[in-house]
Amino acid sequence: MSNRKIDVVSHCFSVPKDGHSTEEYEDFCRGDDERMRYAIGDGATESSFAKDWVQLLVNRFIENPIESKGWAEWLPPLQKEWCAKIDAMTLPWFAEEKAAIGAYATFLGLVIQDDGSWRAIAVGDSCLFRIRAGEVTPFPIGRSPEFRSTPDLIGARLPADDVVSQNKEKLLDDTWAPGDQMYLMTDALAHWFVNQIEERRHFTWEYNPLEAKNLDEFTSCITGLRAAKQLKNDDVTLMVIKDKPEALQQIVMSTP
Amino acid sequence: MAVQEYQAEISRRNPTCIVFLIDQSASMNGKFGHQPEKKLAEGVADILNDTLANLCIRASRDAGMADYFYLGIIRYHSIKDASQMDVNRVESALQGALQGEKLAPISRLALSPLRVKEVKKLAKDPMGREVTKTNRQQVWVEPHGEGNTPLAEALAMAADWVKGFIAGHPGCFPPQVINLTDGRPTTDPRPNAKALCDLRSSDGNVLFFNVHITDKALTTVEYPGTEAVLPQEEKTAKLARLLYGMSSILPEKYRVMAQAMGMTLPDQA
Repeated sequence: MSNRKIDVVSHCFSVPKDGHSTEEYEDFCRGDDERMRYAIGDGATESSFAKDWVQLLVNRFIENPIESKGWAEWLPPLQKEWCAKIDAMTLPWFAEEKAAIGAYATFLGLVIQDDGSWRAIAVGDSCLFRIRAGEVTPFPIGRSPEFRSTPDLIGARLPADDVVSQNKEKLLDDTWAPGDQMYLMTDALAHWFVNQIEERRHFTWEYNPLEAKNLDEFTSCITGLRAAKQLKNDDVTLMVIKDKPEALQQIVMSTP
Repeated sequence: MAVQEYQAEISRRNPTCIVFLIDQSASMNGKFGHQPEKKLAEGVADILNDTLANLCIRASRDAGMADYFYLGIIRYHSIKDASQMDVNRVESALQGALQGEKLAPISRLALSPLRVKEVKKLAKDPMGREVTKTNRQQVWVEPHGEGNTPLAEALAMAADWVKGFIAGHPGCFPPQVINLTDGRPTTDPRPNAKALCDLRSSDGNVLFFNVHITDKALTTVEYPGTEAVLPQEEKTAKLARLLYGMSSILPEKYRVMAQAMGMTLPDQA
């Protein structure tokens, strides 16, 4: 048994853009509670084969998390894999030309160490929100005007050092405290959540996707928010990370 | 609260339409501004074919295509009949498999070019190095220059097509009509331009834009915000003012998008 000071559990919900099928859903998230590694990303619809690209990024992060500014070494094998797959396809002229531009995605990865210290690394507008005693710490975007139509992106055909040379990488370091909750979201939901914080509406939510207990509940919240024009029609992904209930119970019991 | 217009999502469920008007009158046999080795008609056909190709690429999703757009092309000029009288010829420019079609879904257009021509172009590779690339240019419209400039009639046809589209897609992003011309209409097109711009979906009025191409190697004026910035060269100025006066003001959404692309557009552009 390791000297692990914290134990967390995660779950993830996703809903494709209204009018799109699940095959067209271009976000991707994955969590590994054993190794406490989490990643989420959003393939840019304006590019082709973005789903393949975001899956490569997220899966590689879970297996081999990137070090800060380590993109020039970390990215090329993924770019090679994406290009090899796509360039081998026989495509109609328009799809071939679009694929030649490359695929693009936003990305956010989180690694929690056994001692509870953690680092989040982000490119673009996939976001992390840490909630501690009702206080929200947003990362990397904390204000609604910062959600732009052209977020920073990781490109499958861009130079591998682009993330560093264009200053796209954002970092946040912190330490997990008992009772902390982390919410990882792609841009549409993150933008909504930042709006809620700015408008201090968090006690009057008619629809609260953050507390959804299952996919049906989550889907119904997202449908409601879209109908109320509070949420942009886009793929939506949420990953929730909390203390394992039994771990929390132990903390509560050991508190004098 | 002001009603938000030009906000409708363009999607497969809620597509929009774009109608291009292409001037194929005799004046289009003049030289193409900064590229005098080309005729205006050739330059305009290249612009239109490139634009259509770009729209196809934008609408491409993975290996397929999403019908976000319905596209139509109206060519206008006149021909001499047997008794040497001028007869206006205003019709769909689509040929081949799409012969005579009005508004074609972009997936059909993409798969039905008339021919493919190879064009050598200087380009930058992903590492930023300059390379000569042979591009395969899809051709839907061939250049032509003959007779008069019945823009008014072309606008009436565009209005008819657009009206039909709005009837089937009442909540669509407003249809856009884009006129490519050197700007010498035979009759006054303004009443028909107004009638076209008066058409609307629930998301706003039809947008009508003019791309004024001249045989003079003048400084390019993009997205003018006032008449004062239009070309001052005597003959061109009058035509430019006519086209400017008929054109829609860009919706705010376009200005924001242009800004995101690094362009600053004046108010009232």
